[in-house]
Amino acid sequence: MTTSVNSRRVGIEVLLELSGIERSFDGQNILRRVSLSVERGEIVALLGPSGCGKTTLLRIIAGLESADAGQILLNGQNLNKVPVHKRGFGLVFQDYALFPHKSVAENIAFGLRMLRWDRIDQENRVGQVLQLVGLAGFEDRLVYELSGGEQQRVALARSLAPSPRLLLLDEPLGALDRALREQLMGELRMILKQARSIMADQNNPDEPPLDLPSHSPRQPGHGMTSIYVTHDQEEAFAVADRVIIMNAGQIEQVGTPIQLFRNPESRFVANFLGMDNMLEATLLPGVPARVMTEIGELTLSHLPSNEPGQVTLLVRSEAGTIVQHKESEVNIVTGMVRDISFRGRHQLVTISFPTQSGLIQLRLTFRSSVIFPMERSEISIKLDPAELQLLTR
Amino acid sequence: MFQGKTWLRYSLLFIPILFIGVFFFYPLIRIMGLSLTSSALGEILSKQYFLKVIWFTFWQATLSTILTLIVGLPAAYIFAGYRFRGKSLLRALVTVPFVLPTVVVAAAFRVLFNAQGILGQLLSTLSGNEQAPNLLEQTILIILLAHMYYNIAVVIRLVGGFWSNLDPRMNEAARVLGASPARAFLEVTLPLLRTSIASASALIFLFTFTSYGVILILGGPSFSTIETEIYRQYVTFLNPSVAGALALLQILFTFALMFIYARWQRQAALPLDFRPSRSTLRVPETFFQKLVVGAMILGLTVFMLSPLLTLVWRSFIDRSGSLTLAYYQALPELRRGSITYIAPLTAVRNSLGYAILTMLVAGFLGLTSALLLVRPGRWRGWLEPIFMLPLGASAVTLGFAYVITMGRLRTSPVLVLIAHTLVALPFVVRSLLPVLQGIRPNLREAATVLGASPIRVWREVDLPILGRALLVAAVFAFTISMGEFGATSFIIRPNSGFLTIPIAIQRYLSQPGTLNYGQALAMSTILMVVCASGFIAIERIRYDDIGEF
Repeated sequence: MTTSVNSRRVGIEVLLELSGIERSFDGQNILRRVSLSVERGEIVALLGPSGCGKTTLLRIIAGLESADAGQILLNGQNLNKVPVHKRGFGLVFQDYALFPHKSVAENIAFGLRMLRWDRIDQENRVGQVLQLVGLAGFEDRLVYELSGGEQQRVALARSLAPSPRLLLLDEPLGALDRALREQLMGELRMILKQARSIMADQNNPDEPPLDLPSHSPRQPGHGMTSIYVTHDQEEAFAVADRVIIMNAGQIEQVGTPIQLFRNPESRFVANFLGMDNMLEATLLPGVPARVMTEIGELTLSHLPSNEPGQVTLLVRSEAGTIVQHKESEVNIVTGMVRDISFRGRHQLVTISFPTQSGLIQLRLTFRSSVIFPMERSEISIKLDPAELQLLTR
Repeated sequence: MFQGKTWLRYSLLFIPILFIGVFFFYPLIRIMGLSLTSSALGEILSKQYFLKVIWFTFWQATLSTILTLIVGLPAAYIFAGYRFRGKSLLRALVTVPFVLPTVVVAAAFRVLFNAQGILGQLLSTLSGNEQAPNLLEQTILIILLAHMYYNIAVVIRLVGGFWSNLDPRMNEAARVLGASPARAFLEVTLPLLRTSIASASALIFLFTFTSYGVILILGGPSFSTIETEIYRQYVTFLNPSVAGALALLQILFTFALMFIYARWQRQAALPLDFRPSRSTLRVPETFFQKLVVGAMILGLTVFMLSPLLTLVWRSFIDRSGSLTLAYYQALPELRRGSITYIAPLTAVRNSLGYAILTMLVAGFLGLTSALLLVRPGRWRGWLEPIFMLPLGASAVTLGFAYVITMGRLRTSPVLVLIAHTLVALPFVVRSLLPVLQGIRPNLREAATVLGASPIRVWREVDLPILGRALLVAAVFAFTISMGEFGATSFIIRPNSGFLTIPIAIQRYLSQPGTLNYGQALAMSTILMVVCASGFIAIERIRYDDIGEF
């Protein structure tokens, strides 16, 4: 989660626009009126649990499946009737779908052959994209001799080679083990951001750049416009400029990684991003904002947009600090230490509060250096008003 | 497994090797030796007539293979790509001919296509012509049709099976990269299917190259392949040396084909990312898809069922066209002036006897062979081909080799049992071996650690798992024995008391007379019902796809 910054958005020109996409299988609604837009040069992640419809949406954009209703516009042109092979997109599959009967170079050149590039241009471009993905010199290798990570890079190179107007990635790192996935996340973002300019730069510098036929005019300033499907929050945050969270065939929330992380709007989004301390609360009128919960009255530092009344309070896991004496300060709650789980850089502590309607538990993180009383002993915690917020939906 | 006495184990395992050595390799090598030392080989290769026979054998097999592919590939595509109601039933229906004796299929095709047959009568009614046209009977077309009927299952099962496991994303990747549907098929799907198509073709070629009963019954005297010529030279012209030379050629050709098939199959092992076919199947959605799938289902059903239903129907119809049980009622009688010396029902009894004995003997030999083959060791590499070779050897060559080399045994019913066992043995081994190999050693280890003795482990782990496979193997052996025609036709003469049903059918079919014809159909119907039931039993009790080819 190091590279994502919300100021990174480059274009303002909308490249792809979906409106009211619907799709159902066997009477089940997979997608319900999905609308979204993607700007030129932007990397957008479709994030959601399996079965939320994100892959179906990607396949509809690619043209591999058709929507029951809705419109797909690319540069304002309706794509609904354009068959897959005429869309000029790239698609990286989860398990790569490399052609086992072709070499690495033949795999990558496939799309170029479909565009009738001549042989020399094909070879040059294959060399360029292999260099781009860090596999220079792999031309004659057989695809099934490659490791998973190498196959993934070849699949990426194959999709990038014809300079697609739009690159679609379907869980591209899903089949890799954790360590490799983390390494490739950052790298993938860099490759996508460089893709166009590198391919432009590496044409012979002495001559004017080859006027290679491709789907769209070269735009050195832009990265590759990409839609990235994943169920992994970390991956989405690391790779994308903007994240679209989907649930049950609908878009839950759209925003930059920071926006989403700072302000999850719904219980689903908060849960999906790993925030699970949520309390039923009543918002009291007045400033500063105060809520009544079963573990006590709590004050919030920023003003919510909610109307006074029934709300859901999100307590971020970083919210707590131990206080030794119950002083008259605000936001102090007293509960019992249920469990302490040491996680290296931090420790995850479960604190339970007996209430009228049953036991409420908060899972809070503390620095490793904090010394805790024994399990089952009473503890007082101050909850930081800045780390409390209300869900708006 | 048999942990106890080592010598007992080895002598037990030695039996199948001895059996194959004495009853397969010895007669074949003898025949080859005899033919090489006689002048008949040169005589054959210099006579126009025999060259024509060899030529015909090749080109009818080639044509049959191509036609079967043309019809089978679209069907394989539908089977591989779509989910539809009654699919497993249709798949079973397509495979039924595989266990049907050639005489039954040949009889069914004759009924369907001859002048008195359904199509013939339909045509004569339509044209108002009393003299119905002799449709396809005794033409090359009916032979080709029968071969397609037999082998369409090979394409659907082999290529279709491979196809349905092919990752559809491969094709999608090509499409996204700018390939039209046709281009994606030619550049990606077809190259990936190539090896499976090649091995299916090799198998079909092998089967049709050694086709015997179909050509003997449907082709009549005007068509002769190497196989039928061996029979004619030996039985009709009493010319064993020419028959021997033809058998030698046949052995060389079939072994060469087996070799090619085995090589192609090994090459087919391109490391593909297979996925369970369930995830790749789709339901026909558009009108066009529904039309194509529907037409295929209808066409295949009609093609596969019409000969069999016609056969059954005709066996209950007398000369005037009314329903009758006469042909069945006459089965127990030995008619005066009959062409056989026993009543047809006795042939049924004989066949059942052979089949039960074959089941036991082949079951025992197959189990010991499989136990021998499942043990890893340096012998394995050449033991397995030895056990599989009889699969490719033609039954006719085998039968002929028996009557030439087995001395006084030559016309004994024991030899029939041995021939049937040998033909069934590869199928039995094929049914058992993968299951035995599939028993993970840690299952046995788990049982041992839990306190089971070696015998107990065998009884508690191996046997229950092997049980179903044994049952499948037994049914296989039974149906193969019931329908075996090629080898038996040499050993058992029509005037023998040990006649089997297929021989009797062929005999009755080749004679004039309504009663002969009707009884042939009645016996064919009985045989068909027995073999089809066996097939249904196999399909129901076997594990997934184990035991195919």
